[in-house]
Amino acid sequence: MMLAGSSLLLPVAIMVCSELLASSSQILLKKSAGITYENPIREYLNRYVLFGYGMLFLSMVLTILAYRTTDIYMIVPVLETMGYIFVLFFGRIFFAEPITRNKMLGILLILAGIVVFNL
Amino acid sequence: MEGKTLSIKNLLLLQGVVMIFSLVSVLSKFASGESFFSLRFLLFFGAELVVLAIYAVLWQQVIKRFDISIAYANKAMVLLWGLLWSVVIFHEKITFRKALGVLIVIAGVVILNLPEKEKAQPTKRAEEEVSK
Repeated sequence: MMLAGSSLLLPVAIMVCSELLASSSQILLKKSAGITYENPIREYLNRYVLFGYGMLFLSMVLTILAYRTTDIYMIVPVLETMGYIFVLFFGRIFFAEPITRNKMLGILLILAGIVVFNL
Repeated sequence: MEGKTLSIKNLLLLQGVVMIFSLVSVLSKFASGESFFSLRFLLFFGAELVVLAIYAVLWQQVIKRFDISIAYANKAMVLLWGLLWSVVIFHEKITFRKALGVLIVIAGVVILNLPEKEKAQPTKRAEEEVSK
């Protein structure tokens, strides 16, 4: 199953790409959710949602790939929490969502919990 | 955006959708136990896709009602559901670390969803009222 040695560089690099894709896909989905469509089907069949799920699929493939480049499996779910931080900043940039103390503290605890869970 | 009002109904909807999402990995685990492209594999894999589609439809409705940063971070609750399914369905043991990890995540999600305190503006407005 393993393609590479114990170096963490490769899985980390793959997971950064994976989470950037996953986070961007959420921005596209949110973009679509903010638009009023006449036909409810169009809420799902539009370029934002379709492209968004395409990116999410790619992200899933990259995540599976990341598992295959390391024997320290726990780092993959831990690195996945990067996505919450990316979405926090993307939400601020694209939708002017405030980065509040509650959001930062909440995400920090979520990160800590996932580390403890996977230790 | 509209994330300021804490609505229990919306939160329950969000958590419900996260729970549905957690079923995807259960079905995926069932599928991975079957030989590739056997009937049972296709059945589980098909069910996985159906659940994923239901989740996707509901997720679009959920994110209308939340900041995307809040909605997305709520997905961390799959950790709780995953642990629950591992015990109920796969009869795995809960370790202390896993239980502790889930508790910390729950604490984080609760804080994340807390309504933000109003900033200094209302106080300022109140002061203006007084000065009038």
